[in-house]
Amino acid sequence: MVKEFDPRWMYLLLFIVVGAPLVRPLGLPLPITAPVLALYDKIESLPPGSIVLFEYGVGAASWPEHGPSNIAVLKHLLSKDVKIILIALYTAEGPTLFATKIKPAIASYLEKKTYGVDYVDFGYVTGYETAMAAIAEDMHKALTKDVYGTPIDQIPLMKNVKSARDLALVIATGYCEPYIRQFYTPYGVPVAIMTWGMNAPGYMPYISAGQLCGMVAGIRAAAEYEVLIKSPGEASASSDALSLSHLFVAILIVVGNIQYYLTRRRGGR
Amino acid sequence: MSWARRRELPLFLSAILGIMAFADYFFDIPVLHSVVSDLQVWIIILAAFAMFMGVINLTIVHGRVVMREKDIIRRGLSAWTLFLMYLMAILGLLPPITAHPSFRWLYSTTVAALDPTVYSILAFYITSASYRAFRARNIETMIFLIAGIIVILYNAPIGGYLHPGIVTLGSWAMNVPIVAGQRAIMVGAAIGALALAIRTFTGRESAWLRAGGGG
Amino acid sequence: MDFAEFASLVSGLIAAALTLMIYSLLYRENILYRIAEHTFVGIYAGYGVAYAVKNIMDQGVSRISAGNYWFIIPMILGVMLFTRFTVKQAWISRYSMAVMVGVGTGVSVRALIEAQIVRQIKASVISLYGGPFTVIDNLIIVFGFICAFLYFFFTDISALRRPMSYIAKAGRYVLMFTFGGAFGGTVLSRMTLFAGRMQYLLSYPAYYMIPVFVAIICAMIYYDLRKKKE
Repeated sequence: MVKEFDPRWMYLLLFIVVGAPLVRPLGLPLPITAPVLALYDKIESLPPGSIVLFEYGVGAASWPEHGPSNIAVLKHLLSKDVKIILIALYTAEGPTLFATKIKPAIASYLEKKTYGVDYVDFGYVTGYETAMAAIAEDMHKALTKDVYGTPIDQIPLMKNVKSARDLALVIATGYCEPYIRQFYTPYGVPVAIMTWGMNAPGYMPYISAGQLCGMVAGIRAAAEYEVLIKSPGEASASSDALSLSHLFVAILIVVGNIQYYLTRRRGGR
Repeated sequence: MSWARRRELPLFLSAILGIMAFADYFFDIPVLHSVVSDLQVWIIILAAFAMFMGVINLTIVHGRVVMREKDIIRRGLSAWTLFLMYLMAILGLLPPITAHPSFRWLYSTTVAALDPTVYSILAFYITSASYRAFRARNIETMIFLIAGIIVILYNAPIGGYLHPGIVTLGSWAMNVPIVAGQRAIMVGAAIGALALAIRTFTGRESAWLRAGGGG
Repeated sequence: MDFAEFASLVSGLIAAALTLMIYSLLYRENILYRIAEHTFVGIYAGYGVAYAVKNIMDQGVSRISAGNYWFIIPMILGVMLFTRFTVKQAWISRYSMAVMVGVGTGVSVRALIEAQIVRQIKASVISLYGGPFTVIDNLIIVFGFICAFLYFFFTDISALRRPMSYIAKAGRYVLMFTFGGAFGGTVLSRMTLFAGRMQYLLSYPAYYMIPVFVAIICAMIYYDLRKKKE
């Protein structure tokens, strides 16, 4: 029976399981997890005028996972009295997605801030971890111009920011290891990460060792952050679809195994 | 110039530069610091050049198909790939470079839709495999499945709604046994990376040389 | 409808069509999927060119024009990379690779010992005092880590004697639990991507493409059934 099963029926079922709650949301409650709360508290506790390096290297492939968390965390940062240095290191797609998707979502927050004074954008810089090392060591040497072509020395915000020592927090997208190696370990700058949901188990040792001060892993965590800042967005909308699809997979594993045991008891394979 | 073709020279160069970058972290030598600092910027520039490699490689691969392939569909698809690649490159170079509306429009229309879709196909295969392949045949696979189900239900907001204990159990799994296992994997991988670095610093790691081909 | 709205409408419809063309693979391999796949590869490869040029201008050319002639060297090394595509001159690219590999390795590995080895081992040295649950949890973290780590060195359990075989086996159980957790995380990631795409497909104007796609799939099923009968 198992062998004859056409998986395409299951694919069709998955379309229904994910699509139905998007059309008619269930509004299930969302408990807040510790790593998300830790980042929220960290931003809340930043002294006024603190400088935060925000890496928005979101790629299209990871937009559903990283996009909503980038938007939620940026909204939170922009609502506080902190200065933000924006940069993309992980992928060249970051600036395009920032301009087309993130910026419109945070437009009302950006209006209250002055470019060059409260925030600055350096766009995409190649070199990934080596570029991180160079930036952490001497920003004025590693970064020549901002995204609009203004030389770094003429940007008011950058006048007092020379190296990682001047940063209060680094919030990055993607993998956390390079940031821990280049910002936390040598300079002691707290690092938080917005990563894929599948990386959450792998990053727990960094949380437990205190090397990560917070983590927003995947859309579920992004939805939690949206709840914390009281600004529901893309993540909250797909929260129910996520619930049902996960339940569906868990049920399939259990049903598949029950069927396997029954077949084995009857003497089959 | 036959001496320049020798494998030993680039191996020696990578070893020296690697040791310099490594030593700069532990010793406060102003000259070394200044050189390594410049070298880091060199890499930013070199990495930018490396971004052209994909375009050149695709031009060679698909160019060959367009020129030699007999199947009209394959030829057409390769020609389409090359056309779009150069179109995107040209649009990106229109002023303001990387920010021209047509460049952003084409990206949002195609890559922003196709990239996550391609990866999301795996959701279907995972679902199918959950039913057909994940069998608790022995203790190891049983442990795997139990952990999997705990984390799946913990990740889904519905988990806590079904039973509050799922959140407690999931949180315990993430913070206790998974931390232990992931830490072992992490330390093991770090030791592996360190061994690779030592091989590079001593000029024994030559796998990257083969990529260059030729003499 | 102004031009921006029209461009956004066309963009939405094409993006939805491309999304559904990729999903058509779930029924079977077909030309629509291949067109979408080649579109993705072409545009994605071309996308990076402008950013490469921008970085070369900002990081290389601007430094040289400011009098830092020292930066001509990485520019030359960058051009040397392209010799990789030739047969006879490919060796030249090895020097550029040597700089990238050498500096890259040195930079990434220098803090690795402290970040990923020392700090992790240090974090495992935890108190065994406290409440009964804390003691059990801490014991699992400490011994789970040791057993799993040792398992990498003593993988062939059948060749081991007691008590080492027990330690290796415990290590294997800890790793299986960890992989189970990683699987759970992977489900979250993939479902997130799919939910994201579904969210898009059910929004305006993408949903106009759904009936078109359903009609195409029905036509494919009809074609396949007829072919089967013949």
